[in-house]
Amino acid sequence: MSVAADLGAGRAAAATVDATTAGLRRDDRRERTGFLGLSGPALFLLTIVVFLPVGWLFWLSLIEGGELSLAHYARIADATHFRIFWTTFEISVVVTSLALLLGYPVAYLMSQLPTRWANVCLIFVLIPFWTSLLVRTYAWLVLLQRRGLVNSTLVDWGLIDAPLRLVHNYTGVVIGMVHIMLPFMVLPLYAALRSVDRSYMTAASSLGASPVRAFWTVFFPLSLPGVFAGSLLVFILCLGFYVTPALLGGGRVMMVAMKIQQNAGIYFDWGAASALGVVLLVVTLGIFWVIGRLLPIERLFGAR
Amino acid sequence: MSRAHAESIDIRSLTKRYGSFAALDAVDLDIAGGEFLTLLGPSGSGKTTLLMVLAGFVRPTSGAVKVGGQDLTRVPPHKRNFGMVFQNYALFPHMSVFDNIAYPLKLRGLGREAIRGKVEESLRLVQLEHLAERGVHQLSGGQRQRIALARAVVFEPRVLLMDEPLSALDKKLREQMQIEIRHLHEELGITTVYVTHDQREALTMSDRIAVINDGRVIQVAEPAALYNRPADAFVADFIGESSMLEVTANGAGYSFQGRPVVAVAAGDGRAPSSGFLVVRPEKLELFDATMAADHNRFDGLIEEVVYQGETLFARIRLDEGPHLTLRRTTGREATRAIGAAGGRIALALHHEDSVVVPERRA
Repeated sequence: MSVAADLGAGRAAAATVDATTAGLRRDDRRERTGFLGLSGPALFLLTIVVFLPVGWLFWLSLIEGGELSLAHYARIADATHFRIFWTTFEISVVVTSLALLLGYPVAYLMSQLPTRWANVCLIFVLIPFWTSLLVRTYAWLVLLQRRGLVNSTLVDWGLIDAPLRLVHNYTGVVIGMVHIMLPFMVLPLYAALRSVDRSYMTAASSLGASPVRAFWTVFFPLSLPGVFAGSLLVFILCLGFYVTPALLGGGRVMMVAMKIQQNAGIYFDWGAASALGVVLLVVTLGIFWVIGRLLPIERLFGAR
Repeated sequence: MSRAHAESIDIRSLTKRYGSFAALDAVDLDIAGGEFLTLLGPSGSGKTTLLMVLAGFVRPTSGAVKVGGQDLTRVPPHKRNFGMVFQNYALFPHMSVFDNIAYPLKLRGLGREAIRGKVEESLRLVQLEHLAERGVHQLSGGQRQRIALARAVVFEPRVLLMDEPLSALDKKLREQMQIEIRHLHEELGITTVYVTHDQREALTMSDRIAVINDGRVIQVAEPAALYNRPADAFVADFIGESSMLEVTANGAGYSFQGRPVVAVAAGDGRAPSSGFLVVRPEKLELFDATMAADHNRFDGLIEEVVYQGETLFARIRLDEGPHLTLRRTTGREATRAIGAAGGRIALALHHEDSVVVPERRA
């Protein structure tokens, strides 16, 4: 074969390689477009149900009498509204803490049981979800009222002389909310606790740690991601909770969601309601930003 | 690191039943102070169960475990003061390397300075002083292995237990760690019980090996004795390569397909009435007339010759029917002497190397 023919063949081969490379690059692009296309519906939905309403909320809160103004915000910068926000955050913190205290042992038990029994427990945790929120709240009203089951039992047993005030107040709201929130705490906790490798506890024990010591020095720190996940979920749900505090608080406990309902449903003051919503959103984001700065969560658990 | 006071372990008729299944069936085992003993067996043989009973994580159905004369059968694991290395290392992911090793010392209430000194000493022992402040997730497999080892010995435990600690490492690293663990054992002089299913690992590392199958100890012996004088066909087959030729007792000796065979007794010194002649491929020699007096002779046809790098492997069909395998190092001479597939070959096995074992040890 001549040198020229060799060169020609070489050039032809190079051209084929170039064509293939270009083709591969096209395949890459098509794949990326494909991914974008797949996430399209979700993005569209998010736009419809999140970005547009939140944007509209912001817009409404800035309109007073058809003109742009900060009047709504000025009006809620008073002691009454401050107390409403304070109550909301306080109840949310108390309910989250109690749900954690009650939910952790349940999740721990479930995480240590064989899968079969853990699943049975899981069903018990989930049963409340299949009952209407309103029904569960009214059930508490029945149980906790002056002549309710709880009070009459306590009086019958001679533990108390007069019925306790368990409902239509702060106590009632907290009891009801903790009950409603428990599954939201237990489920993420259970998932996190289940993923803690048992060999860590075995190792701690072999190194001389008593079961209690091993729990606090090894198991609990490793379960913190679950604790954060569950607490975050419950805390956020608490902030916007309406039905249970409204019914069990008997009008004595005012949370932000109830004030928003009042403004929108009774006074038809959409601007004021929107302003409250915006402030709640901003304060909540602010709190998480601060917590995120204070707690080095990633460093605590090590990047995997 | 100060030399640990080596304590002996006595295991007495230890039994663990799960329903009707006996994971451990009346196991008796004496482990001398300072000894490196390996529990070797296939998966499901009960070797890990035995280790877990020793560590206190599995409660035996009956029997006793004594360490240094003290009965520990009912002592909970955290009060046994045994060091343990786990298959997956079980290093705490939320602690640095230093805190992992310091953990058992903190539990024992040592002061800050004492802890620092001991942790550093322990890290020096495994040659990883520079990694003290690292997170566990930043370590390679081999490094995790060594840190786990450092953590298991830093509190000067009475006994060191290891549960297949090298199974997650690649072959080269595993062989290197086998030697390192062996050296560490020599340096510390601590009684060590090591679990593995890898017979080569067991032969490399152990003072003695206990072969376990179906929840029972089949044979306990030093590596060479175990290899050269297996107690039964299971041990012979599990450890190393071997061909088994069925033989029957014939007066003082044995006969193989009617031909007399001279053999020595199995590992436990008893001569079975019938059983198998264990033929190790590397113990076979090429027969020549001078060997007739002290060798058994086997004639056959070479079916296959396979080149495997440092060794050559040949499959030979004996005239009597059964097959033997022959293994020779690949020197120029050896290759030529064996010949090619299809040729005839005469093999010799020294009487001392001819071991007859029962199918199962009684």
